[in-house]
Amino acid sequence: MLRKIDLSVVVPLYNEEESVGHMYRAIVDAVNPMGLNYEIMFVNDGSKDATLEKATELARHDSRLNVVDFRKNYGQTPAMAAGIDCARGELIVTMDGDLQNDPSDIPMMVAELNKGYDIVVGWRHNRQDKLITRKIPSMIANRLIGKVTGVPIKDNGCSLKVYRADVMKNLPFYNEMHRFIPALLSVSGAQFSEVKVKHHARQFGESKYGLSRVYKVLLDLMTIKSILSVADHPIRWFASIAMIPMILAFICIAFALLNAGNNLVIGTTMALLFFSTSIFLAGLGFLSELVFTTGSINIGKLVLLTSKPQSLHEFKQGSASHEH
Amino acid sequence: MSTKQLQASLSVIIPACVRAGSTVAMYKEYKDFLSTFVSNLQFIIVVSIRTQKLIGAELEQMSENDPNLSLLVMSRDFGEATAIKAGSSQATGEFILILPPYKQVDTTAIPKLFDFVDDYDIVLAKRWPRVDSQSNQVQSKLFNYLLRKFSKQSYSDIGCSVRLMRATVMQELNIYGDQNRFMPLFAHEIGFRCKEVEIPQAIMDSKTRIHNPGTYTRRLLDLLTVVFLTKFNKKPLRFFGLIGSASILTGMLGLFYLAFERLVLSVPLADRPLLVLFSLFFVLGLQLLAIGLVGEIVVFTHAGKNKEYRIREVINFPDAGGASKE
Repeated sequence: MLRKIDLSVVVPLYNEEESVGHMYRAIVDAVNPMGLNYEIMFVNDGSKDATLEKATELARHDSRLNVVDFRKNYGQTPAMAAGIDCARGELIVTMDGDLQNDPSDIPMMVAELNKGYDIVVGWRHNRQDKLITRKIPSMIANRLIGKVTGVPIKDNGCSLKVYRADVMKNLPFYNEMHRFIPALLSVSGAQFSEVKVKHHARQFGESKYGLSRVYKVLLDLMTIKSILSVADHPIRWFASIAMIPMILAFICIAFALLNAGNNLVIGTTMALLFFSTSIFLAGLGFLSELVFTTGSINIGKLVLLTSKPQSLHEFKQGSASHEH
Repeated sequence: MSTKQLQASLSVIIPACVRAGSTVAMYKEYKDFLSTFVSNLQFIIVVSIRTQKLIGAELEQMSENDPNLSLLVMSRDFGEATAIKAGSSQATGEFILILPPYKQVDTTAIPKLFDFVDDYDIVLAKRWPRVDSQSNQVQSKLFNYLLRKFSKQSYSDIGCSVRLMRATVMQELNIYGDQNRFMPLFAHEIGFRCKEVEIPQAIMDSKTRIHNPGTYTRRLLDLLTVVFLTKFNKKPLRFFGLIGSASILTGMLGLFYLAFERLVLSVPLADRPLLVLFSLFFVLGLQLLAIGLVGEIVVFTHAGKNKEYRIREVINFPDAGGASKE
């Protein structure tokens, strides 16, 4: 008989042959006392060492452990996305595979989620990383992300998060977007909570991320911000941007006409240039409207996503109280 | 030359879209040779409406008498990649071998490809040693050099059509038009392992070819498309954003300089063509950024069905112990 799974723990692994065994035991030790029916999803992200062999060996002795093996290295976000797509639990926990997150925080986070939230985000308040290359850039990034997206999360980079599966499963989730999940979900009105979690210094292996992330985070942030603000009404957004060159065009034409004679050519050229840009941008607005209509994801659907689980949640609570 | 017998079944696809004149002769040559060491052999010849007039009748007659030869006629000339993709839908073998309808490599050396199928998913032939003219070789080298520079993947003869692959590769590969050349790049992108193997070039392939300018332009466009599709298909803004912000920055710096000259040095501004140039840079950058953004919207709205990752397998032992006791 197939039993319902309450909790899925998703862990992306990339070259973690030393950590994988410890990780598995730590998760089992933390989740077993909760008395839930759970599964563990190890996602092997194209590791070049013996991670896959070690994980497979563990899976041989535990039916609750699934190992999702990638054909090649795709990165942390796709690995998490794959784990989430394959997971069957009602709640999903994501965490790093390098033992820096502590699985013993899971019961506390699940308890927090059950207070009625859709996501519970970990905050590594006592972070054990290098100050210059990790902590300071991350602090600036978090401030910036909070300001731009309007979702004040203190630690977006922390992988340890707990979600309701129905909220998470339909979220567009690619590139290095895992950092922006709370921001993405906030559009749909999801309720989130941030709790302090433990953080350990790296025991094995090397950190896989360096300073080069900064520029990527900036561009991703720009993308997220634009998608989120464009999403409701692409036409309006593009039209308001197209207004700027339109106004410039009128200024130029007025200037050229008033000073008619010596600089008519330059003035009219500038006016035409700005005018054509304005038309071009407005055209792009129509194009994005078309894309949004034909695409499979739009903000309207995102909103439905979170409104549904909440009513579902209430419904479940209701039916549970009937049983007791 | 390898003499071992291939146990697995093999489907041979011959896309007879261009230079199809000798298709029938080549089919006979391939068949006679391959059947000596492959027991389970299937041939699929794809002809387009254009080449059908040339060779269709003869092939049709042959396929009627031979159950292992299927003939596919495309109602229009959709390009070689589409032909291969269509042919692969008929393939029943565990491996697919793509062969050109003209003599490109030494047929007797083809079995060399089979030595690598255990460790790789796609085995490509590389024409070496080459016997054709300097001009051909220079063209080919230049193209492959550009490809290596842009794609950061190392292939030295992407123009050779002889390719052996597992059937699963063809199922997952989504190629169309004239992208057949770039098949290994797409395959690598979705996680298949590729290997180049040297196969001597056929004397018949040594004819000097000078194409018309349109062909070269198309090749270059194809190349850029492929690089864009494989590297930036999930992050168009990284591509457009870089060029766009460079252009905006140039424009802004130039405009600031002009403003400085006008305000401080009192150089008249309204009659300077430089003003138009820098404004043009600025406006162009803005447009590129906006296009990148539309690209991101396309990716975002289709992210649900286009998964970024490819899973080899999900390992789980349902009968293993340790299931929670409750």
